[in-house]
Amino acid sequence: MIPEDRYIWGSASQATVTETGIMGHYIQPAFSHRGVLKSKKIQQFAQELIDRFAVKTDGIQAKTGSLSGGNAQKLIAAREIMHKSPLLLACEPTRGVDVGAMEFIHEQLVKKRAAGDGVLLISSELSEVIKLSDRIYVMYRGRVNGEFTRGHVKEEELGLLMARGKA
Amino acid sequence: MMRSKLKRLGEPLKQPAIAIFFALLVGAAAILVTGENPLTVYAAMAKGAFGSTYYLLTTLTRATPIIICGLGAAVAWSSNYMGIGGEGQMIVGGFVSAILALNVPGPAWFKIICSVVGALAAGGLYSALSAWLLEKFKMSLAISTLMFNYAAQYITMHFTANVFLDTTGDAKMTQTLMLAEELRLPKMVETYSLHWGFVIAVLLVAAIWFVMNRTSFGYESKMSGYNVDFCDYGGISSRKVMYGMLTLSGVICALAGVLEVYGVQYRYVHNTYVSASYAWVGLNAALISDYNPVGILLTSILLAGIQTGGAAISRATSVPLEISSIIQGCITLFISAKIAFKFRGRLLRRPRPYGAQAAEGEEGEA
Amino acid sequence: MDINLNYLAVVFNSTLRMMTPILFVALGSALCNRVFIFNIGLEGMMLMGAFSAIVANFYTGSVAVSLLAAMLSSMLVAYVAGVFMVKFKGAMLVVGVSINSLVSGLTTFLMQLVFGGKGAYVSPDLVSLPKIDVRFLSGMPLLETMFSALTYLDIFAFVLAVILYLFLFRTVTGFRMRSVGINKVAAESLGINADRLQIRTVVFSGLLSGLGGCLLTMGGVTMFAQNITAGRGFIAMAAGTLGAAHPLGVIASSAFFGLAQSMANMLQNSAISSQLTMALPYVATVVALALYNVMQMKRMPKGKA
Repeated sequence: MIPEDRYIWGSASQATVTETGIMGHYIQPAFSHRGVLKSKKIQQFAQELIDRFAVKTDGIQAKTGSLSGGNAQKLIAAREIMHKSPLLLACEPTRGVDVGAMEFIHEQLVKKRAAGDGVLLISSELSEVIKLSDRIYVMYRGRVNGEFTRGHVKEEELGLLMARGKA
Repeated sequence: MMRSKLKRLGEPLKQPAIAIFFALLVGAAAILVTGENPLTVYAAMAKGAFGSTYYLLTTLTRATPIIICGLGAAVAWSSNYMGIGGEGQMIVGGFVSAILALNVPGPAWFKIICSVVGALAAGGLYSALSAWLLEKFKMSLAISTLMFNYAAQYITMHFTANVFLDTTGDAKMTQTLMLAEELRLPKMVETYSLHWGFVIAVLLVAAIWFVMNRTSFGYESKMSGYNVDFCDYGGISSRKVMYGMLTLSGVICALAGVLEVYGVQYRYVHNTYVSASYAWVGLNAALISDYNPVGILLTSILLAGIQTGGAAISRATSVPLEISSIIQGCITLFISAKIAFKFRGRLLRRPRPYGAQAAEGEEGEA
Repeated sequence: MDINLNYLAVVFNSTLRMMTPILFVALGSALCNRVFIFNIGLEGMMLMGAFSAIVANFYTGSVAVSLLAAMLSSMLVAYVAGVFMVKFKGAMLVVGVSINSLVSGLTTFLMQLVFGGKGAYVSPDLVSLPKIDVRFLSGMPLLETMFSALTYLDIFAFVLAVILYLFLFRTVTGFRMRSVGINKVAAESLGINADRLQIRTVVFSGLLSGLGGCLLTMGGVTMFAQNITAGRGFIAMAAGTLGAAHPLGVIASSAFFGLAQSMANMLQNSAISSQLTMALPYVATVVALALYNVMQMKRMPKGKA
C-alpha cells in the first residue's frame, strides 16, 4: 500500500533510504534468515529501487529526510510496487508531488495493471482518477453511489456525486 | 569514495567533540575556583587516567560496567523508550548473582550457570515490569524505573544486612560472603584489577552492534525509535519491540552487576554501584555517542578515565574528585543542545513512542 | 508503641513536616506539566536550593539571605535547563538528567571547598527557620502536638497551592499557560509567546524547588548532607502527576507521600526492617500512580485518557 502521508506513515526521516526502502520486505527469505538480515542483498535491493524509479538521492545511505517530497514518494511507490503483490492500494499517491514524479508514478501504476495485477487507486484528484482508471467508483459519506467505466465518464456527474451525493 | 566515507565517519564525532570541549572549559573554570591551574590539573588527570599501566587498567576496570550499562541504556533509548532504571537493574543483577552463587548447591559450573542466568532473568523481569506498567497504566518509564531504582537499593540492602550478611571478619560493611575461589573471574593481568569482564564487555559491544544493525529485531527497534506510525503501517508490533527492548536493556544492565560481583569484589556490597554511579555514567555515554555501540565503548573509557583521573588529582591537589561529574554532566548537557541543530531543518513530524501518547515522549507530560 | 490519639497526632505532625518540601517541588512540577514540559531536573534544582541555603547560612547566619540564596541559585539552574529544553530543543529527559548530575557533582564539589568535608555538615552556628509558636494551643495538647515545630514556610506551601490554583484557573495568564500545554502551536498562533512562557514556568518551578530545598535543610534539623534530597525531587514529580497537575490535588498527593515517608521513619524503631520501610515511599508511588490511572480509565470508558 502506498499510504496517504509519506512522512507520517510512509517513511522515517531519520532512517536511511535503505531502511525506508526495506520496510515490509525484510521478513522475506530473500532478505533475512532466522532474524538475521542479509545486508548485501538488502543494499542491492535498495539500489535497485532508486535506480529503477529514478529517485534523486545522494545514495542509499542518505537520510530519507534529505529527499524532496516527490522523490520520497517515488521511493515509497517503488518499494510498494516491488512487493509484486497481486493487489496494490495507492492512496493519494501523487498528492503534493511535482509533475515529473507524478507522471512517473502514473506510468508505474499503469505498468502494474498491464502486468496483470490489480491497482486500487484512492484519490481526490479528478483528473488523475479519470486518466488512469478502468473503472471508477465514487463514494459519498461512506457509501458508493456511482460507477463509471473508462470512456463513459461524465465529469460533471462525477463531480456532483462526489460533492453532493447525487447528480 | 574514501574521502566521503571518512567524512561520514567524522560527522557523528563532531557533536561530541564540541560538547566535550565546552565541558572542559566549564571544568577549567571550576578548577580555577579552587585555585589550581586547569592545564596542570588536566595534564595530571590524563596521566592519572591513562598514564601508567596501573592507571590504565584501573580505568578499563571502571569502564567495564559503564560500557555495559551504556549499551543497556542505548538499546532502550534508541527505540524511544527512555527508562533510567539501569542502576536498579544492575543492583538486582549483582545481588541475585551473589546470593545464588553462594547458596546454590552443586558443582562450580552449575552454580555459575544458575547464578548468572538467574541474575540476568531478574534484571530482565525488573525492567519488563516497568514496560508492563507503561502499557497497562500509561505510567511514564522515567518515573517507574526511577522508583524501582530506589526500591531495589533498599530491598537488597535489607536482605544483605539482615539475611545474607557477612559476619566474619571485622569489616562492618553491608556485604555478603565472598564467592568461592573457583567461581571468580580471573584477572587479565596479574596483580592488577582488570578482569576478563572487560573482554566480555567488548564482545557485548560487537554483539549489540550486530543486533541493532544486522537483525530484523534490531531493524524493527530502530524504526520504532524513528517513527512508530511508520512501523504500525509496516506491520511491526510496537508492543513486541517495547517489551523486547526493555527486557533486553534490563538483562544487559544486570550483566554489569554480575561482572562486578564475579570480577571485582567477589561479593555483593551494598551501595558500591550507586556511589560510583556506573549506570548514570553509562547512560551519559550512550547519550553522548548517540547510541552507537562503538561510540559507547570509547566514550565509556573516556568518562571512566575522567573519573579515575579525577580521583588521582583529588589526592594530589585540592580539587575534589567531583570535578569529573561536573565535566561529565556538562558534556551531556551540551550534547543535548547539539541535538537541536539536527532537528531544525526538519519540518517532519516527531516520532511518537508506543504506548506513550500522553505518558511520555520527547516532549511529554508526566 | 500503642496507637492512641497522641500517636496519631504525632503522625499528623510528622506528615505535615515531611510533605511540605515535596509540596513546593510538586507544585513546580505540576506547573511544568501544564505547559507540557517534563522537568526531571527538579531534583537537581531542589538540591541546589538546599545547598545554597546552608552556604548562605554559613556565611551570613541570616534566614532571609539563606532563603534568597536558595531561590536565586535554583532559579539560575532552572533558567539554564529551561533554555536548553525550549530554545535548544534538547530532549527534556536528557537535559534534566544532566542537570541533576551536574548539580549533584557541583554541590559536593563546593561542599568540599566551603565546608572542607563531603559527608554531612552540621554546625551549631547555623540558623534554622523560625518555628511558629503554638503555645497558645497548650490548652488542647492534641492540637499542640499536631501543629508543633512548623515553620512559616510550611504554612506558606499550602497558601501557595491555593494561590496557584486560583492563578491557573481564574486568571488570563493561567489560562494562557494551560493552552500552551494543550496545544503549543495553536497557542502561538493566537499571539502567545509560548517559548517565553515555558522558560518562565521552568524558572518559577526552579524557584519553588529552591524553597523546597531550603525547607529541607533548614526546616527541621539544620544541616546539609551530600545529595540530601535523596530522590525527593522525583517523588515530588510523581506527586505532581498523581495530583493531576492540579494544585489542590497536589496537596493531597504530597500528603500521601509525606505520610509514607513519616511512616517509614516511625516504623524504623519497630520490628519491621528499617530498609524495607525506606523502600516504602517509592513502592507506594508506583502503586498509587497505577491505581490513579485505573480510576482515570474508569472515568473515560471510550478512548484514552
